Amino acid sequence: MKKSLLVLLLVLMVLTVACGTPSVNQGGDVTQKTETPTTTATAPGSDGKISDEKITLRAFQYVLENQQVDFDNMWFFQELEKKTNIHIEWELVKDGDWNTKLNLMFASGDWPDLIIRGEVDVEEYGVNQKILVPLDNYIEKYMPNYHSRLYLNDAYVSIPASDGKMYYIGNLTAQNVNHDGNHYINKAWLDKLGLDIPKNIDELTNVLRAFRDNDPNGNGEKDEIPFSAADLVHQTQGVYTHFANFGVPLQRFVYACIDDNQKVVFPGYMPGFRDACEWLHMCYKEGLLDPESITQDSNVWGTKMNAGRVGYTTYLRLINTALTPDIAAMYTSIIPPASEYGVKVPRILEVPTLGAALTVANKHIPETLMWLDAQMETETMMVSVNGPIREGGPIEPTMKINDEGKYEILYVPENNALYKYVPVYHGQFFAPGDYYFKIYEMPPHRVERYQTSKDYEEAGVLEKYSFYYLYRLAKMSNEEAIEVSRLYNEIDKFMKESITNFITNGVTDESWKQFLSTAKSVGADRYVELYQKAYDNYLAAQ
Amino acid sequence: MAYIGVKVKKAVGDTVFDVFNTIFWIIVLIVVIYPLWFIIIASVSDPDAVIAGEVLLWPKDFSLIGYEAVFGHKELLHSYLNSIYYTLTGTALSVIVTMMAAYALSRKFAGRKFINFLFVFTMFFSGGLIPQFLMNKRLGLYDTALLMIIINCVSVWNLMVARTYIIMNIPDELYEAAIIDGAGHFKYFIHAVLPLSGTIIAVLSVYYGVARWNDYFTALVYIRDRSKLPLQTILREAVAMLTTSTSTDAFFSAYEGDVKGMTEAIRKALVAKYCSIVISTAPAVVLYMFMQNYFVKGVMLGSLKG
Amino acid sequence: MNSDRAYVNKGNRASLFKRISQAVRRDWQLYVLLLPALGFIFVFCYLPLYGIQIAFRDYKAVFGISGSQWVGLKNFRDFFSAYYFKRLLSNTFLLNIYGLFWGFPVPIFLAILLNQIEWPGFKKFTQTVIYIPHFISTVVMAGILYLFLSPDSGIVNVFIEALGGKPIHFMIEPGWFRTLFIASDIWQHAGWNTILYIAALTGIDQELYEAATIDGATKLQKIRYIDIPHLAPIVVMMLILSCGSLLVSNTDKALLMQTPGNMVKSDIIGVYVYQMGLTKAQFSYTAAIGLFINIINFVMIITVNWISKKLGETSLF
Repeated sequence: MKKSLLVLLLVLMVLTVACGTPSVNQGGDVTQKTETPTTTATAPGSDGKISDEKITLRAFQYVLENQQVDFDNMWFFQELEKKTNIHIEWELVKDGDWNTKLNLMFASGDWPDLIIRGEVDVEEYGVNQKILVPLDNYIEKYMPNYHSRLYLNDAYVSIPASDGKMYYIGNLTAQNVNHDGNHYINKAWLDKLGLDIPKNIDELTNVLRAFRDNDPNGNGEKDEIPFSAADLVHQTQGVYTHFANFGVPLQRFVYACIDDNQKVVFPGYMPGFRDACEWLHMCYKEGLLDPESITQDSNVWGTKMNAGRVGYTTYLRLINTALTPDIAAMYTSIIPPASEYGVKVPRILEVPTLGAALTVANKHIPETLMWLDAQMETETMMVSVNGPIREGGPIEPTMKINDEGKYEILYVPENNALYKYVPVYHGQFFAPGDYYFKIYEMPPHRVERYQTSKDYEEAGVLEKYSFYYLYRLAKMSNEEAIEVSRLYNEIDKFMKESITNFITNGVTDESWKQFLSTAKSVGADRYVELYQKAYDNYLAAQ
Repeated sequence: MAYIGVKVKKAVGDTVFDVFNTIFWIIVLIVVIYPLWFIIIASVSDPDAVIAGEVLLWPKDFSLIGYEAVFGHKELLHSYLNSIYYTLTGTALSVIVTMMAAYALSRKFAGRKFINFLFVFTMFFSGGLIPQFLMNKRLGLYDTALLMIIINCVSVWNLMVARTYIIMNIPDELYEAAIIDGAGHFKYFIHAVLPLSGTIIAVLSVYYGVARWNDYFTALVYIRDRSKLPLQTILREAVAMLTTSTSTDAFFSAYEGDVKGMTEAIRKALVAKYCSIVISTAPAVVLYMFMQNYFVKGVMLGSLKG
Repeated sequence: MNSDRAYVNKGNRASLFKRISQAVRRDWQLYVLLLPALGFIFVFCYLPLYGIQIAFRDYKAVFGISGSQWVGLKNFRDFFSAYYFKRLLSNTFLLNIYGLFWGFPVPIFLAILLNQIEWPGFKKFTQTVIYIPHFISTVVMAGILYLFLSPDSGIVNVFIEALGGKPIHFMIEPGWFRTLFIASDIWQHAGWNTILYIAALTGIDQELYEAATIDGATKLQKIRYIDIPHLAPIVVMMLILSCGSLLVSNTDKALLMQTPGNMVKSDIIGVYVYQMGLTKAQFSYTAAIGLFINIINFVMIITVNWISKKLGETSLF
């Protein structure tokens, strides 16, 4: 046995040396690229051709799991290639495989020219490992369309990494909205029972009890669910959204929020937190809260909604969602009924996600950027999402320009047919709110969200400083980011567990004390401290 | 008289045993079959009825949208053929290599312990995905059908099981007799061991075959060319686990204005997972029924020995 | 056997080179038979093994594996000092120990009873049916659990209510997690795992049974004195192999079955590793966790193997 082990160790050591040595260089030659743009490419000619010779680029493209797409034979990209003389070799990577494949791609040293959509750890692969190319010096010169909108509505602010450089081209569909989970109540039931819209928690509780007892759906069965939610932490219909009624802007992205004095606080320490848990427990115990709220997914929740069984809930919007139109018509948006702690709905900011990033393997940086920018020219960009505007496309025009000079949708092809012709969600798009409203006749579902956002703003029920300052805007060094992500993992578990425990078993002085002391030992204070530091740095830089 | 009495008594004991055994198996069958039956009826029912718990014994609001979603995938048939090809060739290779090694390890020779140890060691320690990926790439195996066939060729678990089986079931006297007849290991392995190992070969084929048939991860990591993808990878895409991503803003944006397309997509995904089970399991079950005959043959061969 | 021993004794005195050349000359055919399998594990397992270093480095793709910074045992220390470390370890271990305790005997039991069914048609049918659950994917398995156990409309709770009980919220009560996890595992895989034992039983000499019948043995006696002794070596082998995976569990299933309610019990190492990868790719950290688990598993299997050898039973090496 011992001998075997010894021999094996020897063999291993030899192997380590033998195989390890060549892999020193496997990362590819990462000779620091000069950051000043090389001026090999000329600005696009009048014909739109970016290069006289055909350039082929390799793209690592993110694709939604539930769409079958064929980029090689897609009308939009065929037209684009004719126009720009740039050919793309696509590697399509589905949603669910993204992380695995992206990491292997980076590890293999065989990097593509550009990465499109999807999430990439910019701090790690840009700032730290320098595999992504900083684009600051190129944008103004080669991306006039993008550059012209980048600074509208402060859309750019979240893009620069901790070293101040921009490692990616943003993707943004803004519509001036400020929150995700909007509160809805079943107006049809209220009317039937002759009740008013509840203004505070006590009224809400009474309404829910009435929903439970008085058979508002009139089928003679006690199958009403007065109050339902899905998946505890879900950002639009999770149980978390109901902490807002108690002045706790709880969400799943960061377990920290900024109070009115710009101090970062842990939501579990906020004054309304305990009462929120107690109120939810009361609802749970009295049969007001759907007992499956903590475990069910959105589909199960949706089935209950569409069966007309639910009284009060939160959701993204009513029009054009998983709700059938006649069910959606029963509900009305309400300002969250307030507790004594006031209402604080988590405020979201419209910040860009990753549209495209270039790796140092790219030998045609200016051409690549021009190709991306060509897709952001207003008409091309609208076509890439909504389908053709002119005759002669693969389908009848889906858009027109109306009398106000705005793009207006004529019809939406059924069964996701659009994905056959244009990239829709997968392409380049950059539209800050003000710009988008100027060029686009907003469809009703976007108007609805805009309207509810305005209502909540006017009612003053949103948190003053968005958690997005912590979540997306404030940057940390890599070590701190790793520390924060590990702390997040523990705190997330701890919060989910505690809240579930409080809802199902109630809050006692004993369990509350336990909660506070565990919060400390799980690292909530350190977590908040790290975010405070990052936020202070952010404020100082402004 | 006494002799007959004993006989009758024993027969009664066995009868009681048989009755209980039969009742036991009937209960087991009900417990096993009901959820299987549920999968089949759920795959042809209306998704909303499935979620609402209304599908119990028979399909409700018969619908084939799940199958439409899966069969609508244009690469399905091709991937099916790929999977059959990878499974058949890969399994054959695995079984041959494993049997050879298992026989060798069942004999005593210099270095056997060490070699055994070398095998067992790999069950626990591996370099991880990244170095494996880099090496396969360097060997030129990335994006090849060959990789799909030779990767995971030897399962140490199966090797140890086969070795134990050979030690257990093939008597040493047989080997000594063969040696006296002047046969070497090759001859003995081919003419004595293999014919007596029908059962374990069948077991290995089933184990290796099913593992290969169900494997989607290898293709996910190593295959880029879509025409080489196996069935499980395609099914995974067709089923598209929507449950976690529904009703986020990103999801709705993907269906800008196409409400019908969106609700259909959700509905399809809900039942498509059941359909995919039916589609991917059917051939495995058929294959097994074919293999089952070998288990019976194994009995006969077993009785030949000694 | 005798010749083996004689050879070993002689070899002890000869030089290493001589011993090797003698062994090769004598058993070269065996080495040739081993060659393909050894070749495969060499290329696919031993060559990439240098990647184990990742656990001791701060891996960065751009520097490659051996170019990344060496951090020694930092990743291991980080894991040991994680707040939930103890809970992760005990949850993982207990889930597997209970799983082994309840799950391991079932296929043996089933195989023996299946072997006693006398009507061949029924036997064949049963055999085929109990294998099928093995093919159900984890996603569907978990989905079925949620559906059947839903407190709102699930068949199990409908049943409980019909019998006058109160609906049980299975997926949220921590006490139910291990029971459900293990029971559904048994449901899904016990049938499949009978394959090996049935194969071993078919290897039993029919004459033994016939002789036993003539001696007036009952079925139970045949099971006790023929079947069980015959199965023993393979059972021991399977037990040893199972003990080598006491810290490995079906992570996908645990993830799918985990709810905020049952996390106290369902929080296991595999899930932790998965969640670590979600927020930020931490190759070195997760590699260190993997290595830690495997070292424990390895020690476990070596120990169990040693015990088995001492008891004179089957052993791995």
